[in-house]
Amino acid sequence: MKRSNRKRALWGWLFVLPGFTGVLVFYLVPFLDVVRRSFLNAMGGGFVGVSNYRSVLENEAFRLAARNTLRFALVCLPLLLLLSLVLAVLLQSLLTLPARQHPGILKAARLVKSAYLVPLAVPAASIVLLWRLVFDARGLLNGWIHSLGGEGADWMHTGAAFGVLVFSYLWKNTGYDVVLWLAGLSAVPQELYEAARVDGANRVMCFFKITLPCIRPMAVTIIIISFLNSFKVFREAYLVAGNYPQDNIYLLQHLFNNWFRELSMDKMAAGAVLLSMCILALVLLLEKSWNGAGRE
Amino acid sequence: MMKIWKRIGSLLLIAVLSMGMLAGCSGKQESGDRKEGGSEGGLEGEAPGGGQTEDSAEDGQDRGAGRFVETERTLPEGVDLLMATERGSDGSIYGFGCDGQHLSYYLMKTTDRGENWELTKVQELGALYISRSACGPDGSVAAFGYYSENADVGLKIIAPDGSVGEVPLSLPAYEGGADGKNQIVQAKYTTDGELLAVDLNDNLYRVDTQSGSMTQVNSAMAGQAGYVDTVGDKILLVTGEGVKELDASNGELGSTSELLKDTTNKQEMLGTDGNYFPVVYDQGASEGSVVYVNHQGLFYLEENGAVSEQLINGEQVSLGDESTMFSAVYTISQEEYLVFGADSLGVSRCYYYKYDASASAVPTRQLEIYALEDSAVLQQVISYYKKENPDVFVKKTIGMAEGSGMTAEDALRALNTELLAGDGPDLLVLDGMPVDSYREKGVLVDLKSYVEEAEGSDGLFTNITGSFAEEGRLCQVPLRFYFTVTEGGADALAAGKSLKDLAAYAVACQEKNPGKQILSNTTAKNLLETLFYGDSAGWRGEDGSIDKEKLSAFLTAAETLYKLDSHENVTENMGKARVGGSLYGTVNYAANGRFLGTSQVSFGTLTDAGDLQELCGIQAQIGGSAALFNPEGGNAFVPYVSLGMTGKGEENPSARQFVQTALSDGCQSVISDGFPINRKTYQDNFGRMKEYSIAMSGPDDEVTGYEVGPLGDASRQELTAMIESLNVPAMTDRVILELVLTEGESCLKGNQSVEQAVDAILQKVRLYLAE
Repeated sequence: MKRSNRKRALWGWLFVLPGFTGVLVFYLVPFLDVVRRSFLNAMGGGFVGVSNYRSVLENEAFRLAARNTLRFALVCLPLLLLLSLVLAVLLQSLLTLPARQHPGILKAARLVKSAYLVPLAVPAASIVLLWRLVFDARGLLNGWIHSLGGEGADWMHTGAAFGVLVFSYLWKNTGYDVVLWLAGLSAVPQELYEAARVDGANRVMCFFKITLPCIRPMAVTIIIISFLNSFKVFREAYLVAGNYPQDNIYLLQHLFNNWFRELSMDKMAAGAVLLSMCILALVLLLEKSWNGAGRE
Repeated sequence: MMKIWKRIGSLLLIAVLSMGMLAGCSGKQESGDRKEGGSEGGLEGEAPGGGQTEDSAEDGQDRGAGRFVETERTLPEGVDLLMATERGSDGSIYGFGCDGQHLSYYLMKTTDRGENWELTKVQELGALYISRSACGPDGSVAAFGYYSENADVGLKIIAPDGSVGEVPLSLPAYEGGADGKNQIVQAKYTTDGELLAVDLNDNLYRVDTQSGSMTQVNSAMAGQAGYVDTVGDKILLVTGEGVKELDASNGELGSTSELLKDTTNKQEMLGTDGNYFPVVYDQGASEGSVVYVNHQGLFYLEENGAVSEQLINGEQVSLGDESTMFSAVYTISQEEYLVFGADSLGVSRCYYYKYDASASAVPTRQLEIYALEDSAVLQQVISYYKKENPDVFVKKTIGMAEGSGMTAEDALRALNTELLAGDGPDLLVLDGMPVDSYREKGVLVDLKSYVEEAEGSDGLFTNITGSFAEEGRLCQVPLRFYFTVTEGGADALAAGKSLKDLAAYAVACQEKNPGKQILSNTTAKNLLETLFYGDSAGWRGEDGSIDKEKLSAFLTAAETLYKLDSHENVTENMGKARVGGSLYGTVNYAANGRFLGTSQVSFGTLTDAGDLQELCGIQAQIGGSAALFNPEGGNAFVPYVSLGMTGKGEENPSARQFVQTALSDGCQSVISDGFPINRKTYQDNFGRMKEYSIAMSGPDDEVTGYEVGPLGDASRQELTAMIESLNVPAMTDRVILELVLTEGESCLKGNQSVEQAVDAILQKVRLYLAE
């Protein structure tokens, strides 16, 4: 019995090996090299201790970029998670209606579900064109505001640029998160709801006592994916406003991008290690809170 | 049994997947981007024009033997411009040329592949100014030109003994407008001795050299002829749709192979001037084959062949110099070719190529130079170096090559990746690169010893080179430089001492001359760039930040200047100093406006002593002089084609040699753009100055102009004093320049106020500097 378990484990490892080799070669080893470089000078010629970390942490641009990136995540993540969850629950309630009685509603719900994914299919370059058209100081948005008698703003060159970036992120990612939430919601056994209703639970009670606990594992995944997706908003910010955008939307990727141009590999490596540590800490924190909640 | 097979299968799958993933990491892609879609067999093959052989790597490994070796043939003394050549029926090469001032014309003949030339002086050509000509296979010459008194086109036939006979030419009328006059834009003899000519209507004619009558060769091809060449009994007509083959005897359109058709394109055709072409053709050594030369090299095309074979790689010889144009190629034998052309200075050149079976297929040593943008100066330096060192393969990499769509930032990131991998170039052209960052990070090595060596032999402008010294190290040496000047009367020069005063002076000019244009035509961006280079040297404080007041004053003055005129009919390159890899003195352009009365205030870049020559020509007519622009902002100059050497280059003897060569008088004297950093070249250039006339149309279409002569002693001394006073490089930081140009343009065009533009620039510059 023991021998057969060991054999099975060996086979398991063998099947994992190709994937793990890829991760090792393309992620772990390069990352270890980045960690090594973070203690060397820019051209990798000499050991400089923690001075790269010191210079990064003292760097005004890094602090601004880190602050903006964190602020962006703190504002966007709750908004996105909440909005997408509400929409997913609404859609799910429509999708679980009896098909014979409500064929039209069911079709419409399916259409809406697909429509949410459209922003994901739009290339960043096209979004940027639209963005320029709408949010330029002489763009469509200001035109509409003026026609309604309001006062427009220079959306991309004032503090409003942050709001534009948040809007762009929500527009692009809500549909994706809705689909993920729907996957989680559809996995909740309907029998639980039926039993709860028999026991007299209303919809709100069902949501908090059944739906939320059941989709918690999915929530962790969605939070991590959404957090990582929040870094991708750099593409739009870069294409619209270039290397040096308005202060509020100057993100860590702008800084890394510019450091690369200037061959500041020392700072890049230290910055990347710090960022990875933050992401790792967040993931561990989420897992811990999930495990803790699971035990409760 | 089944289990075992399953296990073996699984193991194999795992192995294949693992290897597949790891395969992506192996092997470096060859960077050689070979053109023409053909083979390069002749480069390294056993015989030129023969079969394909394996393309060896350029890294010095596994090189085969056999290569065409270039030798430059010296043209006879007195012939500066070779106007036409042709292969004689006896195999000799005939030529027709003149001196640089078109005063004396010569018939030339060589029977030993250009090594020696027989010269026959042409008798008096009268008032005919020769513009186009063709040599016949018997050594006679058909010379087309125009008479200065009425601009009528004439034809003279020069016999092999130099005697001249006139032919009354029946040139068809110009079809482009009633006011225009038709001209001959190119002429060429067929191997049968028939004269062909292309006119301004883009029609190809057969010209009777007895009667002067002109007959269209193929009326179906009317309006399509770009230029014409001959290969055996075929006429190759270069059109916008590629090359078309005509039968020389009856002019009928033949079937042209796709390969031959595609040897040129419309863009290349624009580069012709009637005497020199981007692609030239000749009959190959074997029956029906074609040989052609372009910047990619010399190619051989077998009759009905499927591929064009590259016999000579242009990159390894002078053919690759993009500023070179070709006039003819002649097949001497399967192993010998003669190519005629002109370099960027317009000097005629003759290159002889002979196959050397013992020479290594690619030069034994390699040198890699990287530049963000190509320039005529870089081409010329590389060409000169290659001539001096034929055993060195110079690999030039252009980060933002035309048509690549690369931005400077993308190119820099790609370059940085190579530098980090230790696989970067030996030499960098630092224009537009983050020089400070590269220096601080130890990418660039000290070039002080090279500068001191050149200073010791020829003398350098040490006020220019010395301004780049940092902590006793010199990591950047500009090969050329230029600066901004104000031109005009004493009041204009006094105002030009500061940007603010210049703007006030221009406003006063407008008040005195209401309704008149004040500045010569230019775009907002070009105006900003000119002013930026003249003013930005003093913007930075000790902490590196940009002085807000100075930036604000700069944009205010620029806005004032720009808003003086309406800027109608302005095109992108008007008033631009750097266009297509060449440098232009924009002050001449502005001064021409003052000369014609179309503008009142002139300032701009002075890029070489030739610019000052022309300024003096203008000032001899309308008065005035030139002085350094905005000295209150610092005596600034703009470094041009600055060389830097990487650590890898320091270990490469060829790279070290290249820097020495680039700074030497010999090399500096062949460069056309910018002031030379070499003092000897600078002084010697005064002796090379020529007299010429400039004619132009005035505002009412009247023809006017001025004479340009060598600079007098006083002008030379003034120029030298001006150059010696230069002490600070203009700000050349690409990031800051682009920010100023982008935000400044928006400000000048009224999309934002000066304050908004200043705030936007400072906010971004603050981030940039904080990084």
